[in-house]
Amino acid sequence: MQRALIEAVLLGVLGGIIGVHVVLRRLEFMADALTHTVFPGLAVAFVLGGSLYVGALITGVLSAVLLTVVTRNRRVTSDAALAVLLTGFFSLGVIVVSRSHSYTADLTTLLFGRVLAVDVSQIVATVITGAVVMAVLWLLHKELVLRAFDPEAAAALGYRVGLLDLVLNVAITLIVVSAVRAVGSVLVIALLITPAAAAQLLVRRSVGQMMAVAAVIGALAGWLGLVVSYEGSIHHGWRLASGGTIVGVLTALFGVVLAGTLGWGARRRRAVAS
Amino acid sequence: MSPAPAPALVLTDVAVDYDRVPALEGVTGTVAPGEGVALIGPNGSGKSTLLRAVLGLVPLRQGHIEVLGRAPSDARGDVAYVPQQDALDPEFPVTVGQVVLMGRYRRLGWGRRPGRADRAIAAEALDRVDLGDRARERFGTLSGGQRQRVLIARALAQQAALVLLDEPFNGVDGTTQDLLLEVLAEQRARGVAVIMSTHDLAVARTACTVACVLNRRQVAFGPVASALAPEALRQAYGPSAFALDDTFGHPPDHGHGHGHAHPASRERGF
Repeated sequence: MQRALIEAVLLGVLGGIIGVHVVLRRLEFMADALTHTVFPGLAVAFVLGGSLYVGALITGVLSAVLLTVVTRNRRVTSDAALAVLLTGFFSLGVIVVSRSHSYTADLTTLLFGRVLAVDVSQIVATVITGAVVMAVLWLLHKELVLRAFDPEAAAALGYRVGLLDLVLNVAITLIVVSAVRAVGSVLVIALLITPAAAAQLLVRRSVGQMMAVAAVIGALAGWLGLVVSYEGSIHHGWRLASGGTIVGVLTALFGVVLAGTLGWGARRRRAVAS
Repeated sequence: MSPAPAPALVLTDVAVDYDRVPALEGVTGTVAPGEGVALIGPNGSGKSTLLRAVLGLVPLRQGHIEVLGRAPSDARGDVAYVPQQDALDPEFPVTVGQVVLMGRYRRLGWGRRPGRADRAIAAEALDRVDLGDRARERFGTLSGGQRQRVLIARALAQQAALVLLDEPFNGVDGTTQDLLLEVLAEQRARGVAVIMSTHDLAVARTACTVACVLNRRQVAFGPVASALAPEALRQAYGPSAFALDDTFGHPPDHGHGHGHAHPASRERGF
């Protein structure tokens, strides 16, 4: 349980921070496509008894490169290209898994994760991956913010926008690969999007502050979701899936923030009107 | 006797295609340091295409461009670009001050943060456009005209030798336009070349010395008086340019007599 808590909080922080870039660049669909395109890597590694991390990393980075290249082609709309890649990769994973004898159980594990089964080596992999991604985001912070805010100006200033996009896509992929073992490829998108979407409601003037708030929300959801799932399953017999509960708590937190900001906005409008 | 300064921009028979369809052809001209150039033409005439070609963002089918004596891609750090402000997301979490500071990024290089000197330059640029007191506000809370001022402040902070502006006066009120013209005139006095695309012939006549008239090809490039002659405008805009000539063939009448420049323009030394 302690290892699972560490992993859940770590992933909440990492997902929250990188998720800010996903939300600001409106890459939600692309991030969702990435979470599905790691699936065949997971499936092959699972069937062969190899490292899920390595398997997901290989297909994840490959799909990040493909997604970057395809979405810059003006002849194919971004959504169409993403849909093709997402469904193609995902179907490949399903085909691979369907060849195993324990098809249903295996598929469930890969789709929904098993954070309670995380071991020390997985935590170490998450820490190393997270450190690399955070270092890249810190080094390229001003460039990535400029590219997100004003891509024309970024290109005019001489920045290679395609290269920045590729770096960000690979960084997103690395976090997805780390998180998919805990919450599965279906729900990992929530770790990326929900904390950042909630932070966007609270922070209006700083990308850095938005990242900090998203990290706190992600960490809180990771901790609280796991505690609720564990307590509920062990002490009350509710059998709550940990990955699903974490995402449920994330969604509830978003709802609370949204309700709070809407209520605050309404009170402010009434005060101005009076 | 000191040699003449190198031109800010040299265009030689420039042609650009989009998806193998000609978008611009036959553009030839030279822009000296401190010169003001108006790019004139109807929508789709290639004005933005030419600006992007000068920035090295679109490949040339033919011809040659030299920016500050170098290839466009090598000169980008010394070229400031002011895009149309309505393309930017008003909800993006960035302050006015942070937007202006973006003009300093290229000088910093990868991975470095702006220092005190950069912040001072950005603050001075923002003061110049009369928005120094709005530095901490979110960019999106400003009006369209104020946002345009911020983008020009960003260009000022870059301390470039060539400034390109894509329709900078769209949606901008008269007071803001006068202020921005004043700022651009100051830049030109310092030797900065300014190229702006605009539909406003009156601005072109009062704020620029050279005009480049386009309609997917160069119609005219030269001193404003000759380049904006009625025949050139008819070639660019079609027969309806007769009506344009009556309305814009002379600077707008502000009650100071036909053919006289606006007094504010005279004060700016045009």
